[in-house]
Amino acid sequence: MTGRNEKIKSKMGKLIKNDFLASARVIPFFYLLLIAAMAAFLIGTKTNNNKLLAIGMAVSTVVSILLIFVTFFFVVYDFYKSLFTQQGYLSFSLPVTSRQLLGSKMIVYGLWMILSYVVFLGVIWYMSNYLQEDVIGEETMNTADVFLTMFNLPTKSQIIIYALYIIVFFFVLVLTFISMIYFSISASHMRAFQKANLVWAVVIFVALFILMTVAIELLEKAFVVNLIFYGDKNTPSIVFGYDNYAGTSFSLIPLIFFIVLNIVLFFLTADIMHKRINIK
Amino acid sequence: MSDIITVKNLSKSYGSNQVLNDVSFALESGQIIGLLGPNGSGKTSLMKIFTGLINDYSGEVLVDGTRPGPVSKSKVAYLPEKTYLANWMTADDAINYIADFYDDFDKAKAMRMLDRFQLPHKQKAKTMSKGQQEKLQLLLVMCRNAKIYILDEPMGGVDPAARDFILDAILKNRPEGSTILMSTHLIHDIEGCLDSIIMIGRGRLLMQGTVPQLRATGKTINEIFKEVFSSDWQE
Repeated sequence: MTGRNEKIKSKMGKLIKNDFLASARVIPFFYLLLIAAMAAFLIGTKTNNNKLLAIGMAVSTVVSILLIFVTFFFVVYDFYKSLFTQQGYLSFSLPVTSRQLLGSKMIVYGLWMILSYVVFLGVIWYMSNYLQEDVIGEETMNTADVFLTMFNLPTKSQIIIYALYIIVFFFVLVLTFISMIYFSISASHMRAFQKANLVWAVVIFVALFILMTVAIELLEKAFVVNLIFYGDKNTPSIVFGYDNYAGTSFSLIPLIFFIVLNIVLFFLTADIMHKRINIK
Repeated sequence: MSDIITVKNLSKSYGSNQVLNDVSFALESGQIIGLLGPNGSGKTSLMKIFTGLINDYSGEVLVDGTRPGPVSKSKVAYLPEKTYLANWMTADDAINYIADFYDDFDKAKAMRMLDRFQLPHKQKAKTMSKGQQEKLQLLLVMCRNAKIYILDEPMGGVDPAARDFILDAILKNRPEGSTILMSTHLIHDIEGCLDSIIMIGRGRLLMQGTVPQLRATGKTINEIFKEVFSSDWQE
């Protein structure tokens, strides 16, 4: 029995592979388009060809934005199509658990989604960097440095920790967004909502979003868990409850909440997929 | 012979519509079993329960000794009534996909059958005819060396020549000692190859027996079926 269970666990890798193959039919095309546009932009900068530079810059920006929307479309479409249409007969009869089916899609589409945001931010950062150097000029950058020093803003180490926090928070936020979509689609295919499942999927998503916003508000009022930099210290402290500190801080409640919400939604969605869905 | 599927007090309803009501029976291994019943009698629901596609039922179901789940799914080859291939899949993609998940899948045999069935390797499912898709799905199921084959209306909606082809493919490729549970309306076409039958209707088990036992009454299975269900069509 143990050997058989191990075989079932090893199927997770196969699921990820096949979900990746299914998703890799369209999405990479946009990355290739982006690479071509960026190449045009770089050639334009090197050869001082303003026309090529402008076209490369415009296409790169548009494609990087488009990439987010295309990825988002596939996040929703593939989940719906492979599990809740006739294709579900294939997916649900595989020798895997519903948690594995869901987990595989969360991993593959979570990574695609994060990649699309990272690429978008990278393109914007690169373009703005170019504009700063060549258009805004060195004087403006020096002025910004003076402002940073004048207002006693965080040190370099503090900024790195902030950045790390923001990256982690952002990844968790993307996964939460996907979890909410998958939960809404799955719940809308339960018998009670089956007749108008598209409408119900939207209603459930909006309701979940409102509940989530209210819950964060209430939790932030009820509990205080802050990451604080005391004075010039570069290592932050986690402080529970209010404290008379003199330093910069930010709340960890939203991050903790989103991690918990992700876990709860994952198990709820897998449970709905396992027990409450009857594919037509 | 031992029982490959056992069902105890199984009930399943969709809202107020009770499709299975306290049904109990056992299916012997190594047989070809016909699951017979009129439309809406719960045949597909029963098959979906055996294959783990429906899990909200009451009662106990054991498939080769385990509740329907990943372990039993690895022993069951299921051919649903619907075409389930993803639009982007070619025949080769579908074969690789199934080979990835089922250790008992014979990929070399699948490739040979693909040619024998005259199916194109690289054509996408969305551009295949319904007949081609059905052939491909049949191939995917029959190239497994499974313990149990659950076939939902495998000959539904096809012409008589195709019916013979499908039945032939099922019988020739069935591993020795395996069990086939097949639902159909075309009793006359498959009567000769069935070992036993199970009839369900009005949410209940109406009849179960071996074909020789039932034929000993002097009637064909088709005639018995008509007798059992004719009242459903009387005004």
